[in-house]
Amino acid sequence: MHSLIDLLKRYWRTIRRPSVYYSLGFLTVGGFIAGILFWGGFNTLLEATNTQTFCTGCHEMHDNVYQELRATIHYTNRSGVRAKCPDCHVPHKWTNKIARKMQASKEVWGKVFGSIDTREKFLEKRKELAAREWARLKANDSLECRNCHEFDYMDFTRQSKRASEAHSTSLERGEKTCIDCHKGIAHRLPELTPEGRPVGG
Amino acid sequence: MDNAKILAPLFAVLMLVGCSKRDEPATVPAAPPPQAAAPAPAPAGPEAKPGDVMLSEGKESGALAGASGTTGGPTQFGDPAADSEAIAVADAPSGLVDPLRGTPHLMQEPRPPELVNAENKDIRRTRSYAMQPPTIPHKTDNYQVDKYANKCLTCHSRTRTEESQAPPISITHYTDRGGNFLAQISPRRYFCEQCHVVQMETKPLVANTFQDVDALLAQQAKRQDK
Repeated sequence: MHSLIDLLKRYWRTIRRPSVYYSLGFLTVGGFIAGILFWGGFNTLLEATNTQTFCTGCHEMHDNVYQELRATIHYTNRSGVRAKCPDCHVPHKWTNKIARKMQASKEVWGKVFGSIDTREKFLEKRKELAAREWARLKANDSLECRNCHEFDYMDFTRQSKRASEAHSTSLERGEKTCIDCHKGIAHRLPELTPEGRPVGG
Repeated sequence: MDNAKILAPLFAVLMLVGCSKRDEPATVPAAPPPQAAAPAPAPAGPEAKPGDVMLSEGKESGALAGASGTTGGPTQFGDPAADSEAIAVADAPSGLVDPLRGTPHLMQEPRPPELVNAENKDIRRTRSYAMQPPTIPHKTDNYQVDKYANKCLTCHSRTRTEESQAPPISITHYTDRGGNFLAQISPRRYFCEQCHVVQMETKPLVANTFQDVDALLAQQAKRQDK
């Protein structure tokens, strides 16, 4: 313990002292280049974990939620626009993204200890997992939906009667957000009561 | 499992023998199966005299009419493949026409009719008869109805009516087959699309001569006036 403090003190003295051998120019330019490398490297790595290929790399995601997504309009449709995993599950703004990525470290824990490594375990836990995503989208006013589905760009005359009625009232007034009605559109629903509410929640 | 498989035909034979020869002692079923199975269908024949039994119930006669309609004539069906791949109708033995597949030769692949989107106008349609399950006036693509969830009920359940303004499921859906009222939707009425279906703007596969009962009543009244 004592030696560790001594070591830290020695490093601190080195850092405080002006450079003896390296020029100011080298340190400035070198620091700049190192900054680009580290920062770029970090972001590249971050983006690599933000792809569908990465998400479905584990069988938990590939065999359950990914298979369910494939039949939905967000994956297969006439116009060829596709919403992939991070489009809905990771915020697009950098700070929020980092916050979400830090939360996602819990998922590494889940992977290591196999919390949903069988279909049965996944179905058992789906209610909890879904509830978490619903709460997240409810709290951020369905931000990930709105990254593509901008309310101001909607043409109510092109929507069905039911859709335009709901969108021009509850959604416009901010009483409801996308996820309030559009649950279970990309993945199967967890167990619901016959009244359409989560069982026991 | 294997035991059950082996014993199943034996039980069937025993039951048939038991039904057809009730007056005989219980030891008789040990008779060899071929003789026992053969007379069994015979008693069923004379019971069902053509005409009298089948027509006694409305439902039965309806089913009968429907069946005779579908087997009627092969030529009356709109064949979607007929325009592009004209295949001899004569290949199909008369009366054995699949209205979904059409009449092409067995080895040929008929062109299926193009897919259409379900009508999505949200306007309730007239029912053809009083007991008809109402048809769905909107799209139900990817609606999940399974043991976990029922997407339809998120709008059509009793407690969601005010919010959704959708017609709530009727009282008949809350009764079991004994007529007892349940607190929640009856399991036998849970799978909505067994009875309620979307509609598409498309050419009917099978000809239909259905008449509204009001039209029939009007005809009857007219005849009585004469």
